[in-house]
Amino acid sequence: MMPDRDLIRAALQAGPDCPPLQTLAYQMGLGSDTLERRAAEEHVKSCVHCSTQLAISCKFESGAARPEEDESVRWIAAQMRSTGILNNAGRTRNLTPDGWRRVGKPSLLAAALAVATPDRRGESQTTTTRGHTRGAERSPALGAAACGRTSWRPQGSTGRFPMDGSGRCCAICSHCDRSRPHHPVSRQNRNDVGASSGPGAQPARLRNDAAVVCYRGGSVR
Amino acid sequence: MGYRSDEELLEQARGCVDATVQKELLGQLFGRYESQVTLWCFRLTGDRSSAADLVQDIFVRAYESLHSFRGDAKFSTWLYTITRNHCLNDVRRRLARWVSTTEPLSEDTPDEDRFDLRLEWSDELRQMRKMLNETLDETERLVMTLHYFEEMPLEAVSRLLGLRNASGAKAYIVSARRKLKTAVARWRGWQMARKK
Repeated sequence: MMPDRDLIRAALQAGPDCPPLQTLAYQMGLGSDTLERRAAEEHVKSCVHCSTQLAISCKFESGAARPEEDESVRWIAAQMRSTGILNNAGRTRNLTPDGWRRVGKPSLLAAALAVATPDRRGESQTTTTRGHTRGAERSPALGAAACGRTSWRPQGSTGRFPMDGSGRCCAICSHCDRSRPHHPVSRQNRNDVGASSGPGAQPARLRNDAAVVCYRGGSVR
Repeated sequence: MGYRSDEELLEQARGCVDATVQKELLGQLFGRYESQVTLWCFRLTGDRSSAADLVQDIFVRAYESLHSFRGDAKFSTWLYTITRNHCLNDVRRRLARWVSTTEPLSEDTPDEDRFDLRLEWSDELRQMRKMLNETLDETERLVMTLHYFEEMPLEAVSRLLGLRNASGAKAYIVSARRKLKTAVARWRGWQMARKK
C-alpha cells in the first residue's frame, strides 16, 4: 500500500483520458453548442486533475493584485522598468513566419519588446503598469526580458539586481568595465528609448553596437 | 484599430515584414500579461527579488518559445503553462526537494509528455480520484493539488490562493485529509461487506 502522500499525489495526476491543459482550456472556450465543449465539460466535471488545473489557470489569467501585494508588485515593476532598454538593435533580424526559432536570442527580445506600446486592455488590467504610457517605461517586465542579459550575473553578487535601490548597476559587472563606476542612464538615453514607441518613431539611438545600457539602467560605454 | 485577440496579434506579428511594427505587436501581446506573470511569481516565491528574476526569465523563455505556440490553444494558457512550470522548477530547486533522477518539467512543450504515468491504475487509485472530486470542496481540491501534486510549500499555496485564515493552506489540508479518511473508511467497509 502506498503511503498517503503518494496515493494522493498519484490520484491527482493526469489520467489516461486527460487532454493537455492547453487543449482543454481552448475547448472550454468554444461555443457551448459544440461537441468539443460539451465533451470537455463532461470530462472536467468528473476529473479532479483537469478541474483543478483549469481552475488554477483561471486564477492566473484573472489575477489582480491584492492591496497587501500592491507595493511589492510595484517594486518588481520598478526593477523591471529600470532594466530593459535596447541593445544590439542593429543586429535585429526580421522575424519571419517560419523563422521563429532563429530569433531565440534574448538580445533580440530587447529590440522586440522594449518598444511595447500602450494596450488599452492591458492597461485596464494591470496594476504594475498603471500610469505608464510609453514603450519600455510602460512595460517594465518586458523591458527586463528585453534586456537580453539573462545569461550574465553581476559578479560577486548573489542576485541579478542590485537591491540597494540606488538605480545603479552593480559595481562589478561582467558586461562592463570593472574599473569604471556605473552611472544611471541619462535622461537623454531614456528619451531616446521612449521615442521608439511612438507612432512612426525610429528605433532607439544607440551609441555603438555593444551594450549601451547596463542591466539596471547604468550606462556602460 | 479595434481590439485584437492575443492569437490575432501573434498571427499578425508572425506575418509582419516590418520589424518595428512586429516589435510593437509583440510588446502589446506580452504587455497584456505582465501583471499576471508578476503576481504569480511574487505569490509563489513570496520574495520580491526572486520574483523579479523569475518574471524576467519567463518572458525571455516565452519569447524564445513563441515558435512552439500552436493556434489550437489559448495564448494565455500557453503563457501560464510556461510560467507555472518555470516557477515550480525554481521553487523545487530552491527547496532542494527535487529528486536528481527526475527530469524537470518541460517548459517549451509544457503538456506534451505528461502521460508517462508509471503507476498502476488500481481500484484504490481510481477510488481516491473519485473521493477527491466528490468529497472535497473547490478550495480543498486546489490546496491539495498545489501542495501534493505540484509540491508547493504551504505558504506559497496560501499566498497563491489568497487564503486569509490563521493557518492558511494547512487548515484546508487537515480538513481535506479528514474528509478523505472518512470516505476511505466508508469505502473499505463497503468493500468488506461486499466480499462477505
